[in-house]
Amino acid sequence: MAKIVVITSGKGGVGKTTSSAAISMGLALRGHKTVVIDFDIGLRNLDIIMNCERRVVFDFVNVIQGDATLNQALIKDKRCDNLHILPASQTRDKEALTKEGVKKILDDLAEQFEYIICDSPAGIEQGAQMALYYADEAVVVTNPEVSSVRDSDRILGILQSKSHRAENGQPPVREHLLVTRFDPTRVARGDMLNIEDIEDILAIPLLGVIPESQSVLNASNKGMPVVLDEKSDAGQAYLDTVARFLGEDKPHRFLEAQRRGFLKRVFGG
Amino acid sequence: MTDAQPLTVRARMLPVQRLIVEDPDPDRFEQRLQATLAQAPALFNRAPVALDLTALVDNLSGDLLTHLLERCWRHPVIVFALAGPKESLGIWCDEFQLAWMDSRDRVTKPKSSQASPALDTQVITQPVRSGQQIYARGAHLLIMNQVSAGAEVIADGNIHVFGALRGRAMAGVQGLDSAEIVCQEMDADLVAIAGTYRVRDDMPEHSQGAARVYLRDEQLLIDHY
Repeated sequence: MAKIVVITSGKGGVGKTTSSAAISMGLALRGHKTVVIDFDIGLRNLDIIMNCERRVVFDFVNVIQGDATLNQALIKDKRCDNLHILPASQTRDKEALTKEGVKKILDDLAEQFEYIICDSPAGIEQGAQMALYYADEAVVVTNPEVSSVRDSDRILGILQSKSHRAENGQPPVREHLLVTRFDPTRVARGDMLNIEDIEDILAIPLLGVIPESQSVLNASNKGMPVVLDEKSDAGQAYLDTVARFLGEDKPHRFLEAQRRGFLKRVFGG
Repeated sequence: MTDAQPLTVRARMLPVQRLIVEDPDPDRFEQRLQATLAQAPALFNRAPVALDLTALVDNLSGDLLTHLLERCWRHPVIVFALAGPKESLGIWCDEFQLAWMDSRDRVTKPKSSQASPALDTQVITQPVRSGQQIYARGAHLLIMNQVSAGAEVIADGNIHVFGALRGRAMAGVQGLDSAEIVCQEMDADLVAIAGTYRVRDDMPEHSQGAARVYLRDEQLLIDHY
């Protein structure tokens, strides 16, 4: 049975697409056949982060409207055979998605893949609701700040009430908390919420904490999911996150501010 | 402009004061009337009033009615109707060219001392998230989880939250002022009972922990435990 996982947040700019790219690549690297779908119709970004924007011929909306077959639209990642990308349409808007159309595509994908990762657009409107509607699991991406946490809470409410599982009285969507752009130094200064506060407010299990890192921006600009940069702390944190998602027990890292060594302080680092 | 109509009817609800007369003596009636008017001169100035004669219907006479009306005319009130049982007052209304009014109170206001009606209980086990609204109509609301900031929980009866209350809670929204809000951890944006409310800014600082919110003398009180 394929698992449908939505990466969502409510608020924009918190790292949904980065996390979608990293988690899907991480799952593929672990040997799971994975497809990642960009639900952000009209504002597609995932293909840029996955470095396949020049290979897009057909997109999600083409498949829904029957202009192309699913296999024509799927793009195979050059770095990992287990990973496929279904890009969003840049020229349409989110009203092009229908429940029936999305269901058909997800059913077809479920025959080929183990994990279907849905990269949700920001907001709580049609696009975001379509992305989460058929989800079995949800990764709620949150930054350690009050407005982001509030919006995540809102999206959790929608998962509970407006998903297919909720509407049909099935077991609820399994929810995971992923805190991104976490800066231990600023948390220590009290500028940011700490992990306990976020867990307390959202009351869902913590899947991972991704530290704020220069490597994330570098990786996006290079079109490379950050998990491929194994030296970066963010890359390692995403790999840990994927391992926990697969049921492994890994301690959380990067929660404390690193003490900078003498040499690093002198020469920078 | 359209042509002026000879007659157009417009309906309007008017507040009408009923003067209830239980003593047939015209002098005592006028004394009492004068005292009443002195208390609220503005309220009775050219105000339409009805004489409620329910208590006097059995020994009502043309003389008595004339006396009572004359006493009223000395004052700024304008008697336009008689109130009481229609069968007995009908002839007097015709004779004195007055309107008739029902003397029964249509709207009976529930007294606060009245025992609270038996209410149902609605139970919520999942967290109430931001943007969600739950209304327990005709019921108490029991929440076995937290209420997030931006969520709204409303009940006609009491609200009990066995977790943190960070959103808004409104109890007794149909006017039950004996309703209460109880929570394990008070961090609410707003609490209200029977329409009297307090926002976060008006609550004491550092007021966390379990709390009970209730209404006393139209004051919303918050006790911490």
